[in-house]
Amino acid sequence: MMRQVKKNLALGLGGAALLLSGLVLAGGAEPMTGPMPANLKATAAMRDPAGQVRGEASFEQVGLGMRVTVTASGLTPGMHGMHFHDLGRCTPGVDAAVNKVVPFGGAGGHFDPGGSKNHDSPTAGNRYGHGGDLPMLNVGADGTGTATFTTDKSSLTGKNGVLNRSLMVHADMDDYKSDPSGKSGARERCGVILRNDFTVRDYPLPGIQDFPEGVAYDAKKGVIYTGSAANGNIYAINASTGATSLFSEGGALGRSTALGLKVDAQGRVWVAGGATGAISILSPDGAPIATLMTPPSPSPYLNDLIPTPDGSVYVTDSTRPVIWHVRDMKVERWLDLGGTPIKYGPGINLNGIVASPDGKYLLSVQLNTGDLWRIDTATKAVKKVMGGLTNGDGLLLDGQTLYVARNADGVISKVGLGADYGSGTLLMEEPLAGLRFPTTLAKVGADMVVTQGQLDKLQGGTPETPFKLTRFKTF
Amino acid sequence: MRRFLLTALTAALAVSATPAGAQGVPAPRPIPPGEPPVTVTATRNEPTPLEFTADKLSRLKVPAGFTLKVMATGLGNARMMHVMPDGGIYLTRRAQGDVYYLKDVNGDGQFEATERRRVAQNMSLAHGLDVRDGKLYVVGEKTIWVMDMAKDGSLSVPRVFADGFPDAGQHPARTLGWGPDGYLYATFGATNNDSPTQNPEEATLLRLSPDGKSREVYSRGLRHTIGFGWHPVTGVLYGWDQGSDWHGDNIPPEELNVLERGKNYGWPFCYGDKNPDPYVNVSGIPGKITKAEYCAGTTGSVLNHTAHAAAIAMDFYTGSQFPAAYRNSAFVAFRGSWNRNEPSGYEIGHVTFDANNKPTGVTPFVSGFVYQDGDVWKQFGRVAGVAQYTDGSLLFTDDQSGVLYRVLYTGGK
Repeated sequence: MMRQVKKNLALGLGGAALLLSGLVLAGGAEPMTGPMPANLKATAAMRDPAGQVRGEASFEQVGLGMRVTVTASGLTPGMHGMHFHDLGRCTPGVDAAVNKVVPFGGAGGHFDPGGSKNHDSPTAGNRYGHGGDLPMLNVGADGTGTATFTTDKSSLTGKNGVLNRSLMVHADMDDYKSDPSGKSGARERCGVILRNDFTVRDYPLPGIQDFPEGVAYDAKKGVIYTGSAANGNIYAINASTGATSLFSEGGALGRSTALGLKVDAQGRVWVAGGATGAISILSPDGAPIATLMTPPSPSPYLNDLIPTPDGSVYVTDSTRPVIWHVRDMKVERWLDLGGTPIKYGPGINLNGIVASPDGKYLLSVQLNTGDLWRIDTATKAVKKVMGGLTNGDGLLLDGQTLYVARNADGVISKVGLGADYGSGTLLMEEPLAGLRFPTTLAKVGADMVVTQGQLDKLQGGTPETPFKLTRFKTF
Repeated sequence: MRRFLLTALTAALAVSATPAGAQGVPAPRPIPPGEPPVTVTATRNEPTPLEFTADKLSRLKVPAGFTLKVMATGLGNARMMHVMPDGGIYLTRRAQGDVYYLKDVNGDGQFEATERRRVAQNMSLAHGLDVRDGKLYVVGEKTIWVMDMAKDGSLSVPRVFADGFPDAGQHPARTLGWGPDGYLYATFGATNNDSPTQNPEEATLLRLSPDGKSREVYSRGLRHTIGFGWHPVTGVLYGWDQGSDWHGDNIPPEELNVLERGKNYGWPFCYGDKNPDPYVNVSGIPGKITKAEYCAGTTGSVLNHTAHAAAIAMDFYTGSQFPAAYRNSAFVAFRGSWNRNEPSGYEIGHVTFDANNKPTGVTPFVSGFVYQDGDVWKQFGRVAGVAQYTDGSLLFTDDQSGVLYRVLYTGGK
């Protein structure tokens, strides 16, 4: 068996920190390439199933890894399995193995950012074992256990980020191998990992299949629109009260999914229809106005769109190397990317798209390569602005600053753009209070709103409800 | 790196982040909940069909003061009707896939052979129809067609108005109607009996833009809503939905729903007043939540009727021939059961409305098509279309023998 185990954990038990090895990148984990917020720290109040606080954990970002200190009391003496769990809910929930509600079942399974589907030791790379697998908590005769350790399997930011996930202490010892949880037994202490000194505002959504992908803001109405990648439902959210109403039910021809959304100058809502190949236009009250179909073959994936001042709308297609253009409710192939430096490969290619205020330039990010491209709308000339924006999804252009929702990385990247948007510098990678697959961004006054799409859970796993959008101060 | 904190949020941001309605979103489960076994007793009872003959008319009952007449026989699979102001009638024939035009030119109350003709054809499963701005719209299996109407009732060759609707499967009776908002409404039933559908346009009422080129799901969770219409006073949209088969004699009841935009009326998992249907597998529910959790998020019916009666058409009465109590109430055709020990339906029902124009119940209006002969159930009419005639009498069809009936009020004369 080709199995790569890298020592990546500095482990201390009983409060005595013991450095096992130098920090080495865990398999499957990718380094953060951009600056992260300073003083990135978090805390979890460790509760028992009755809700009483019986301990505390603190987390501090150290380089690419994280220092963790845990204290929990009222436990039986001996070794207790301890893990990061996927969801930030210390509530009762269903344990699938027995199909019953168990204490802290709401926290879901082990955090598995590498997609390993395997429980392993705290030193296994994340591609081979859960990123949330941690050293055990050694509980003394007084019923209290304390651990301090450093790990780079998990972090407070990026793909391995545990903000707004949970830390769990189990009843029994962890054998570091048996799926799904090393036979560590019942869940006895749980704490949601909350970023210190940090506040955001969430807009919860009402459905169980909302998987919000697109977001757009109508400043005149004060309404935020968001749409479901799973069923195409589009909601209107009152930005000040948070009240949510169904704006347009999904499911009709071309509307079984909703990806990128934009509001045009007339208050109409444009919807990129993903694999339906459709561009839908809805009236300001949500009624269907037009459904524009692109050819059905090869497989479409209309991902995002942007209106420009001349009445055009440009549409990205993530699987077909073409940028579509809509004018007077007619859709046409505008730019065949085959003759440009943008080379399509497997996966999602061009994704988010924005335009300069004068409509002279388009900027679009290629998710699979992480490249940001500039396209001149007059000459159709294509220029690479920068790389390093892997998993770049939705874009937001604010003056000479570009914000990029990095979906699988769970961060929003801030990019400073040079003259004519021709160059870019990564300034910050911001996890906010913890982001679950952030897909798109919209500006709401001095703030911004990001979707927490959880689209990774469309292919399996259990999403956390309510689905939500998160509003934050522009950084 | 500069310190980055978002503590200085505005007062607006500090407002509670949880709006009403988002609370209590059921948590998706990692695995479906499972349910205990249930046993159902179901009966297939398809009454023996009898061709219509005039001697059977005496079996039919109408309320005192009303008279029943036959205007035509031999019309084939006579389904839905649309009455023009001049008394011309467009009639769809689903099995024949065409449209007939009937006009009682000589005023004798009969549609003789010379007063009926085929005006459109080759429209697969042509069923629902409506008229707007000199054009006739007909919905069939997967298509809505539009035809120009001539004064003599003739139609142009049908053009496709909208297309690509779901397969019909088990429920191919589509209907349509132009709404007071200028949009076209059309219903598309489920391909199956009682499990989630694959095409999200199935089991819905769709709303189409006036040019037919765009559409939305207006209401869903409607297994087979055929008869629908807007109340003449309140403008409220009502629709009758046919409940699932094989769940016993009384579950689920037939439902009258108030159809509102964006609402889910529960099928296949819930019936009536958001009741979980015990005979439907729970594992297909989105998010793997329990049936009770799912049903709580649906919209209940406003009136229930005997299970399996199979409401097929509904028409609001706006005429003045009938007594005043009938005005702004509705007539509904119950085509009749095949899945109930004692047959239900096989009658025209009257949906009564109170002074506030709210529906209060269903009473028989024309009944007697089904009866027990010794130990054998027999029927001589599958009622289908219902329409108000120009004189305020009520027309209805039997699609089994191709009969067009007329009910007149003759009381007090």
